[in-house]
Amino acid sequence: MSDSHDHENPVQHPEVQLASRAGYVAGFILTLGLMFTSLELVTHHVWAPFKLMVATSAAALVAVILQSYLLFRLDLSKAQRWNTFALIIMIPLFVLIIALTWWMFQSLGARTMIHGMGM
Amino acid sequence: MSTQNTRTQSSAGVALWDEGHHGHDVISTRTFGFWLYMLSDAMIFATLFAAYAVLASHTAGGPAAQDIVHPWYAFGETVLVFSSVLAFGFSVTALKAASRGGVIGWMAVALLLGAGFLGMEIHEFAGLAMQGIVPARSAFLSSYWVLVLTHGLHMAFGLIWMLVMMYQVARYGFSTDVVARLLSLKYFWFFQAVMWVCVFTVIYLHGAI
Repeated sequence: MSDSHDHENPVQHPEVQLASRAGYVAGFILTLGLMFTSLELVTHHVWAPFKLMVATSAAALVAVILQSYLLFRLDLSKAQRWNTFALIIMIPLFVLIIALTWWMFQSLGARTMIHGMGM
Repeated sequence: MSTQNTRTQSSAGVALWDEGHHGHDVISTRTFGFWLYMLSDAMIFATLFAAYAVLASHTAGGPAAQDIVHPWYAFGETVLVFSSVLAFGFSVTALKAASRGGVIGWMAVALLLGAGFLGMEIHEFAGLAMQGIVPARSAFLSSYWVLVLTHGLHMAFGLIWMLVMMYQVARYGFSTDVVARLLSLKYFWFFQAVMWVCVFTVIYLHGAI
């Protein structure tokens, strides 16, 4: 959140003034470029499947970080630091939900052979 | 809200405590609240990605991801989502310049591009349904349909919200309420591009490997 004093003109609000045409264009070009690179790698089967999975996941992570900085303008400035902090403490929860659920069912499948039931 | 600095003073004129109400910036309070909502919305996607990770191999003899995903077609959808977000970014820069026409015009472009994305997604899923590749066919298809279409539902809601905001900007101008809503919509729309990066990578790219 930004500072606590109000602004007479809402358009002059710090969150409005964060908007950056150059930042949005850079975000568009860089993230689209990353997705296109991932697409080329996958469709041409450049590497083994596991390596492709790792490379495309890394490209997605970089794209999300770029979007956070260039589109959402998240940083440690006074206007944005609480938004940034909230996102940072949410990320472990996001990852844990996916990773622990996957691990739990992998473990369950291995112990009960539920994967052979043809769900 | 203006900041008040009413202080209770002792008979000696010493400030004992500050009773003033230090109100928060209305716009920032609202957008931060909406930001927290968006982060909780991300947790919905986390559960759907978790379900997909578990069920992706449970095809019950039906089609697997490799049989139904078309990465190049999905890249076309990616171009439309990102372009729509870029157009919305230009709408926000027009807001910075206090240009009513700029905000509405760029938002209309974002809306058309977003509608193009939805059209492609509807075409994709209508094609699957015509071939009997429906959620009831397997656990994999259930998670596939729900994950992708949950994102599509968000996109559809965002388009409706844009229509509402175009009307409000034209009708009320840049009041505090309208600006706070525009900033919340910005978060919402940009968030769809972030989620689409995850959907495109996990569903369409990993599915084609």
